[in-house]
Parts: sequence; structure tokens; C-alpha cells
Amino acid sequence: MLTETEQRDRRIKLTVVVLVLTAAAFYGGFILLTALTS
Amino acid sequence: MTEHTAAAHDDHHDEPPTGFAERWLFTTNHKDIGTLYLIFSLTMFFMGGLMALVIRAELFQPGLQFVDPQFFNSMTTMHALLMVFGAVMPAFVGLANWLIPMMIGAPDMALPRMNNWSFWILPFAFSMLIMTLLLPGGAPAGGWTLYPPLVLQTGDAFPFMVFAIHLMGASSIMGSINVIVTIMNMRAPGMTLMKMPLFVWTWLITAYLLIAVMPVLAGAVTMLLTDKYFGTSFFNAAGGGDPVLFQHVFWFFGHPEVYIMILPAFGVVSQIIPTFSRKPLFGYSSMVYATASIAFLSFIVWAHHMFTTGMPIAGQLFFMLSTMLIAIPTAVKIFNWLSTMWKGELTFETPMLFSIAFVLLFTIGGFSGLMLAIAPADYQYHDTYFVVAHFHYVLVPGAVFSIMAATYYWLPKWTGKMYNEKLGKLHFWLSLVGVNVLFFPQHFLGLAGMPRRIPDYPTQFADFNMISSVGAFLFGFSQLLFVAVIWSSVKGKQQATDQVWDGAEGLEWTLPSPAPYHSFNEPPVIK
Repeated sequence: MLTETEQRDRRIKLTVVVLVLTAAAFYGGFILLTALTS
Repeated sequence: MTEHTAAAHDDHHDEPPTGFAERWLFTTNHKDIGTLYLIFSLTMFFMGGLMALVIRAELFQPGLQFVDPQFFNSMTTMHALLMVFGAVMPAFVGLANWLIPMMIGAPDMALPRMNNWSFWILPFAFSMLIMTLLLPGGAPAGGWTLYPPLVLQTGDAFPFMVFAIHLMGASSIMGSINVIVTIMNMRAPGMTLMKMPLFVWTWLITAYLLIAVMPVLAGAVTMLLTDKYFGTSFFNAAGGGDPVLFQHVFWFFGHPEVYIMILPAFGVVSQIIPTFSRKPLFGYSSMVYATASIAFLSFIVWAHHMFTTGMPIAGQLFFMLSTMLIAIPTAVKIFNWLSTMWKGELTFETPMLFSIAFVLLFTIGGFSGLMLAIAPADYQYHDTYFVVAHFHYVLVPGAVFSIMAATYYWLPKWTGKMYNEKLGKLHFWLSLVGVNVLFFPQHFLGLAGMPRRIPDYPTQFADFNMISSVGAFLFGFSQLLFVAVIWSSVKGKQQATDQVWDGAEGLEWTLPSPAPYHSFNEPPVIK
């Protein structure tokens, strides 16, 4: 059973991973989109 | 609204480290990092301001007086890059660092070591950018919009500029991740999303905008870099690319960027006006929804910057109408601020003066924006001084005034001492007169046809340019007073109370003044 602090740390890690992946997707996605359009 | 337990700030046994490097270089404390951001922002504000004064000195009279045209173009480019990425954005990140943990009842930001890294990237990025002034070919001079093929003519400065922009972007993205993670996971028990102060709300939405658009700017400059040095043709027409495509990618970043600079300003003003009206904010939930609507709309209006590039009529109509839609949530905000003041017990301390000026002058910038949104009319205004007047009204008496209002408002909480109110008011009135003398005549110059980004102009534009330059020097030198007022608080004698302002509400005002090194070691209880 995880303590409240451990649960919060897990939530923090998950949020960071999701946000980093979002940023990376926007970076790569827009380069890809530009390459396909030009 | 809120109350915190007695233990909340009685147990602040942690003191700041005594060594200079330990305190400032290796700090993981949100207040110290906030202070670093704010000092950095003020430094960039003065450097960018100095460049603006070079521009206005050159434009004081027709003809070439002081600088050659290439250097003039470097000044306009560097002024914009320094003010946008070095002054306004870091100022709001500094305010977020100082205030968000205190406002939501958290001990610190969720990711304190990344917080340190986010800040310390910036001085290196900007040193590198500023030092391009000394390189062969000079600093970047193609405008902050970096349009190819013009920007590809930049000399040795080009890769340094691209690297600096990547670093700024990385710093902003890390800062936003920290803000989102903190707000979503570190709120005190009982602090539901709809109980959060408006400043926290506007920053939460701004942080999402940043995560979505800073990588797009990074992608755009990466493609410019590979076009220039690695033989790709993303934007090179000779190789099958499309230079106009760059403008689409750039403004997909650039328009939300405008809201990144103004949404936290809305948050600041939404904190200050209720305090000095001694009334709760009118229409809290509509403020939250209006902020979210503005953020959403900011993603679907980008091509209004590009009406003159040639666009199908359906495209022009779409971007014209979507842009005009932004007026609705913005008007909701203006209405709510006015309604908050209506029949309030108003007093006019310096933060309130700056906030009222914000509401009035930002509205002028908003209205001229609506004029520019009208596609057929934009053919007349495009690339003229009217555009310069428009966005400076949004950014100077808009964003910059709100940063000044925020500084005056929370400074006693930060330093524990009151600032010199007389000097603060003098700073306000000189800034108010200066900013209007500086930017209002530029509307007339633009309507008369004066293009932006030119070091020389026909004599028909001489009078308004002279007035504008006088305003620039008045506004510029008035800012020295701002430093004097901050100093008067740092070295002040008059102890600030915990609440500081008698109408102030929110968790930060329950902490002692100055706020302890660690804000809430025990989470406060939110009713």
C-alpha cells in the first residue's frame, strides 16, 4: 500500500512524463508536418 | 475564504544558506529562484529599453543620425527578442515562482531542482544572444519573426541565435511543466480548482499554452538551421520549399505567445482590483472560462498576421472572424473588472493605479487589434507603425504595467517593508504620460503610411516621430524611479503588516511579512 506522499510522487512523475511527451510531440509533429507540406 | 492552521508558519526553522553560491547558484527555493527571475527580467528590461532608445534617437529626426541601417535593424530585432523572451516572460515566471506555492498552500514548487536549472539556462542563452553584436556581420537583423529568406542572410550570429532560442524554449518548457505539476499536485487540502486565485488559474492555462507552442518555435528554428547549413529545403523555394510555410509555423507559435504574455497579466489585475475595491472579484467563474476561451481561440487565429501573403477568401474570412471572436471573452474580463470596482470602496495606491491604467490602455490595444483583424483594412495597416502602436499598447501598458503593479502589490510581502508610496505614484504618473506620448502618435504615423523597421523616413512623418521619441526618453528614464522604489522597500524602515493591504485576501497574506523561507510546511486548511 502506497503512502499518500508516494501516491503524490507517482502522480507528479506521471504528469511530467505526459507533459514532456506532449512537448516532444509538438516539436517532432510540426517538423514532420512541414516536411510533408513543403 | 481561507484560513490556515497555527502551525503553518510558526515552524519555519529552515533558514537560507549563508554562502553566496549556495544561496543563489545552487538554490532550489521557490522564493530565491523567483527573485533571480525578477532581477534577470529587470536587467533585460533595461538592456532592451536601451536598444529601444537607440531606435527612438535615430527616428527623432528624418535622415540617418547615429547608427547605420544594418545596426538599426539589429536593434529592432534584439530589442524584441530581449523584451519578449528576456523581460516579460521571465518576469511572469518569477512572479509564478514567488506566488503560486504561497497561493495554493504548498511548501515549494513540485520540482525544485529543475526550477534551478530552468532559471540558470537563461543568463547563458541571453549572454550568447547579446554577444552576437560583436560577431562579424553583427547581431541578427531580420526581425524577431525570423522570416526566411531574409533571416538566412544573418552572418555568424545565426547559429548562436538559433541555439539561444532553443535554450529559452527549454527553460520555458521546464518552467511550465513545473507550474502545471505544482498546481495539479501540491494544492492544500480543500483548495479545489475553482477556489484557486485567478493568478494561479491564468498561469495554469498559460503553462499549457507554453508547452504546446514553444516546441513549435524550436521546430521552426531547427528547420531554418538545417536549411542554412545542412542543405534541406523546408523554406527554400529553389529546393521546392515554401517560405510562406515558415510564417504559418512561426505564427502558430507567435499568436499564442502574445497570450502567454498577457494571460498572467490578467491574473495579476484580477488579484489587485478586488483588494483596492474591497469587494470580491465580480464573476470569478466567468473569468476562468474567459481565460480558457482566449487560450483556445489563440490557436486558431494565427494567419491574421499574414493576410497580405495571399490567401483564399475563405481563409481570410475564417481568420478574420475567429480573431474578432476573441473580443468576447476579453470584453467579459473588462466588464468584470469594472463591475468589481463599481460601488467599491476604492483607494488608489500605486498597484491599483497601474491596474486601472492597464484596464484602460490595454483596451485601446485590444480595439486597435480588432481594427487590424479586418482583412480588407489590414491591407492598408499591414507592416506600418499602426501595428507597432497596437502591440506596444498591449505589451507595455498591458503586460509591463501589470508586472509593475504586481511588484508594488507583493513587494512588502517579499521584503517585509513598505515601499515609498510617493515615489511609486510619481513613477506611475511619469510612466503613464511617457507611454502615451511614446505610442499614441504611432497610430497616426501608421495610418499615414509610415512602414515599420525603417531607420529613415520622409519629412511628412517628422512631427509625430519627434513627439514619440520625446515620450520614449521620458518613459525610459522614469523607469529608474522603479529601481529606486524597489530599493526603498528592500532598505525600508516601515515594517509591513502580514496582510499589507486591508482589502487583501488569499493564503499569501496569512504568512508573515517577509514571507518565511519555506511557505507552508504544514498544509493550511481551506474552508
